[in-house]
Amino acid sequence: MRSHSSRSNRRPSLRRLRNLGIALTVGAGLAAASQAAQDEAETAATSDLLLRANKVIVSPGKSVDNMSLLVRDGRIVAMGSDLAAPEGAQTIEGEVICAAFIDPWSVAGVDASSARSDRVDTASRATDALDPYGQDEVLDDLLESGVLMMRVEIGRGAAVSGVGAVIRADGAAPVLTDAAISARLDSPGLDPVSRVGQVDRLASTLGGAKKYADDVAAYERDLKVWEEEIAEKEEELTEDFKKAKKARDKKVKEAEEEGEELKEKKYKEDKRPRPPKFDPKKASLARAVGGEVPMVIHVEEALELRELLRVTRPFTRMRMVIAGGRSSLLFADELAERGIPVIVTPAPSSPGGAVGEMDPGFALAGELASRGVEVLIGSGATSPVASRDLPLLAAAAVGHGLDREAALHAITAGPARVFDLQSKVGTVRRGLHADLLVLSGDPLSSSTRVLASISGGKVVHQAGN
Amino acid sequence: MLISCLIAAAPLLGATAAEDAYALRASHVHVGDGQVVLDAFVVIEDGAVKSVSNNAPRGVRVVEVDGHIAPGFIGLRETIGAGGENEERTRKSTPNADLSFAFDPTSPYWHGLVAEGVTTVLMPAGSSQIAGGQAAIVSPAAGKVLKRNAVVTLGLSRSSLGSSTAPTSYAGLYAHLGEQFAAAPEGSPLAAAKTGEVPVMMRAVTRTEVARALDFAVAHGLKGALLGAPEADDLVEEIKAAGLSVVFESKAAPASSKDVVKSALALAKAEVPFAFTSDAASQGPLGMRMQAAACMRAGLDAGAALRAMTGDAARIAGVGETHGTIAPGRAADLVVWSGPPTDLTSRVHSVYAGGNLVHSAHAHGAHQ
Amino acid sequence: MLTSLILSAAAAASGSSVPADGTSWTIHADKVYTSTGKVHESALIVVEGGKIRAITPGVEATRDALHAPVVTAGMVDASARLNSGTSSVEQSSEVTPLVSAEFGLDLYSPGWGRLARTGVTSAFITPLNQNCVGGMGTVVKTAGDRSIKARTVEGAPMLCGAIGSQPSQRNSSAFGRPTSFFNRRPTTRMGVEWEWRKSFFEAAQAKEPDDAQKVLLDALAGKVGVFVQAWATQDIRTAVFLKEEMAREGFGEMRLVIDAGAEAWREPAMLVRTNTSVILPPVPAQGRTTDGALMSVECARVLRDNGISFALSGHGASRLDIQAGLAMRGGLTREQALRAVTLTPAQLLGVDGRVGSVEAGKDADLILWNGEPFEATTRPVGVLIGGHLALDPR
Repeated sequence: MRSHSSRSNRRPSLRRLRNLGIALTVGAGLAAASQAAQDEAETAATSDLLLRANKVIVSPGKSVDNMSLLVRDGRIVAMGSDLAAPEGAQTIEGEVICAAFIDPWSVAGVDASSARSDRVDTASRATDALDPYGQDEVLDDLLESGVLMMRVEIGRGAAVSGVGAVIRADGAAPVLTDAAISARLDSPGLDPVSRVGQVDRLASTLGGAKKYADDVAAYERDLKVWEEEIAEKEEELTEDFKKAKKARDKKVKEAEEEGEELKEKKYKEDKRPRPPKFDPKKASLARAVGGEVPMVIHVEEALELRELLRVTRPFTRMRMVIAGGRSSLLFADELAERGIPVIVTPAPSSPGGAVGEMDPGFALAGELASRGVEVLIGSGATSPVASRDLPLLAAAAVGHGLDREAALHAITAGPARVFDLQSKVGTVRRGLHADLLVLSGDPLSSSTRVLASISGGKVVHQAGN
Repeated sequence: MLISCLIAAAPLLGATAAEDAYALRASHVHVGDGQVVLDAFVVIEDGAVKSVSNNAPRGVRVVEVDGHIAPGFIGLRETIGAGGENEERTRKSTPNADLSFAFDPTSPYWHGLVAEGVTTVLMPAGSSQIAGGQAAIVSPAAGKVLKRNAVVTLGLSRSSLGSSTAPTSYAGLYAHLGEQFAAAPEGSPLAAAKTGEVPVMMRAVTRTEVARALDFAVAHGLKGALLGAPEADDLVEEIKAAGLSVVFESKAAPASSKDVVKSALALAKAEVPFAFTSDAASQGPLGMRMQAAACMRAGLDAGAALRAMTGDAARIAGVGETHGTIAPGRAADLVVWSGPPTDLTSRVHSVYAGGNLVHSAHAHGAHQ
Repeated sequence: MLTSLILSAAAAASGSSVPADGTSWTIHADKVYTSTGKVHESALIVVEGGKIRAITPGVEATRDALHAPVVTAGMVDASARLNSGTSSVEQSSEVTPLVSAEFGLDLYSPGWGRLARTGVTSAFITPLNQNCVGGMGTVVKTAGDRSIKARTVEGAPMLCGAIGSQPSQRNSSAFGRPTSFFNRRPTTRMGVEWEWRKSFFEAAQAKEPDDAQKVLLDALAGKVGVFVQAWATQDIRTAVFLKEEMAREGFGEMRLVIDAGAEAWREPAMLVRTNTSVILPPVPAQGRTTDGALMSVECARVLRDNGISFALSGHGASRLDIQAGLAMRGGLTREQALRAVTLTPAQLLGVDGRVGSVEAGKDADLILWNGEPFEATTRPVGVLIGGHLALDPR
């Protein structure tokens, strides 16, 4: 599924852009610092935990029978079939253990007015809008249902909104403060010309950000060259200093003897290159254009989607993710070829809706997957409490044709990979963070109960408590 | 043998005469009252279930079905096929109205409902009326009315109050309703409700509305169910004492957006019958199954969840003797699922109504 | 001395075992203000089965008694306005005497808890004042079993309504094509008074009065109290003159209570001569209330000086003990302020047989204060309603 080109040949420019971000954008600089702090905070010391199950789903499609896991300091430190429980460790047993569910498109944990605001720009941050206290009931429901992490975004009313984050449901704590930048192309009721106009505006905004990034990169190149030249010149001058001093002293003596003024030779140096005017919005969006963070675009209808795919072809480094995508079946081949994942948000309702009779409803996930598109399932960022039913949505998608493994991937490993968290969560492997569920049965079965939820190594829910 | 193979291989759509008996054999038959019979034969004759047993029947052709058989869902609050005709907006009380006249068998929406497993539908009055009339039981697949004047629908929630039409207050509403009941002539629907002959469905949403509705029901000897009551868990004893059941509305219904999971569990524990509604206009049968699945993940057992969509739902609609369970004498309204009916990963293979095969997933392609 | 010793021994004995139903307590207070004028020092109050069984002054605290510096009766808010809003008033007609405020109660509203915790133990609720004659009010305990029957306190029947600008607000001219029943009279203050007079006259002249008219006749005769909201002087005058006019016509002597009588202080003479009582609203922040009535903290004192029977109210928005404190600042003594929020409203509403003072035989509605009541530094630390702890002092 990972058919977008490897990142190795893009690394130099990527590094430069990242340095740029840290140097120029205060916000990004803070983010980098806080990310490091997050890393440490995520793996704070907790008491040991031994989890045991008859079946451990390591990743969708791959499971091991009769396995135990040892969790220490927030990470899975050991996996084996006959681990012994260390002193003072809590033991939890169940039928199945799997990675905790991740909702890739949610507003749970985010203050409601920020979520629907139209006054955000690309430099706004979702981490500024987290609301763990006002939403504590919703977050508790999520812990009980097994959805332990969400990618949240703000500014549903704006065309391009701010930098989203991935947060844990437990206390709305950020796991990844810069998860993605989102945009939307779903204004209903517009005429086709205005609809295409929206897409063009988005393209020009992206283009503007790209130009800004290019200008900044050019500035840095020029600055480097200028500094090198200055250094060379200074070296030259230092070397020739004695000679030049002797020559000058000789000239002064000659002038004095002849009674004339000495004409000093003026040395002119090239002007220092000027940086482009700092624009935090463009700098932020440039990170998405350059592929540093994914760009999530909410688009449902065919016209916008077709135009979007066309105008984004030049942005080869941008990692685009389609959210909603009710008409994406029409473009499944291109989506598969360009490696663009789709976050579907099925909702039980009468057929029709945004795309009318062509709405495939719950069957969209299965149909896209069968055409080679990577499918994620999200609750749709409209209501915080909708995230709770994420596993039910995945199960219903299976009932409408999605492969069971693909459904589990859509709510665990898929969101982790797309939002750059695969080295931390999404699968059950030694060394990864302990975000796990202990279940009484298959994760997608409707009669399964969540026996325990472990978030960052902490038991945040246990059935019967 | 050859005939039964041919018939099994080529299922017929549409209404065909079901006089000849046949049997369906499946690995699991969910009776609809909580029991599951394994490896069973369901014998169907004249549109009704004749028997359910593990013994192979003699002299009837057997159709092997690959999956679980469950009773068809009872859609307790379907307004989608009515085209808005079930809501009389000029008057608050039309107790003698017969809502079977709102049934449009040609509406294209029925097909979607049947394809998702709903075989019987109760068509009630809209929620803005006080005494909206008598609901009818219809079969969308067969396109006919099964029972007229089945349930008396009453609206006792804030939606029944007008802002510029009388009554505007609860006091006015109850005064009005009291007058209607007192003045009801013998043999009229409200009089039949008072004697308990016809069940009632009373819409009440907030806890205060539910408490008042219970008092009213007890005072007038009404039997039946509350519609709405998302916070029923606070009033379980009172509901049980009044002998009423509860029908939960769909999550998307405007006033009922409160989550019913806790209430469903509390009612199940107290052994008070309850049901979910499909209400295709807002959520559809899939939404109803998701509501049931949400309750199951919180602890409700699968049998109780299925009952809330089949057996108990039929009893609340007053057709518990003839629909809602797979038992001798009941109508042959069955759905063949690819797995347990309450599991969301299962899909509908085929639907039988009155013994006839009315829907088959294969014939309609993957989109269903 | 001997009797008090025996009584105290008995009290101590009964106080040492608290039955499990939670409605029996022993309370010791350094001071008990009974609201009748009597003040007990160092008294032990025995509560049993939800009623005050005995009060014994001059006794030491027993070991498991609840203790407080001061205990008073629970406050009675004569105009608490905690109804369900527009669904509590039947607006299809301007005169609806048969509507009961019971149907406008929502016992699950969090407002009840707030009232209970701030010391208001009984509240008088009327239908929302959008009608000229809204219906019958009801006294409700602010905590307890969540059934209307259990919480209602039977008192004097009160017919509630309003005179002023509020009842005519939603109505519009009836000429042309009426589109809803709001196209009707009254559209002015004159119209509001006309509605009142019309209903009284028609009831008095009816050959066979219907149920609604029977209530109006009882109101005319004084058997049913008339509880009228009238903020401004002109509206209070209208109400008083209406009462006098009905009496002149020979229809009877009404028992008139003016609710929210913010400007009652301007013309106290007419209230005195007609024996009208007044419920004062909360003192407005900027000097003027609804309908532009001018009111200050001194209004209560002016009414006291004229000998008019009055009570204070909180309207569900302001704390009643703070209103009492403001009235003290305006010149009332503590005893008078206490009476105005306990015994006087209970008497006006006819529930003084059960609530309103700390006397043996009455309901155990008590407030435990952490100091002299109505001081800015004092607040209720314990509240009992019907013997149940609504606010736990422990």
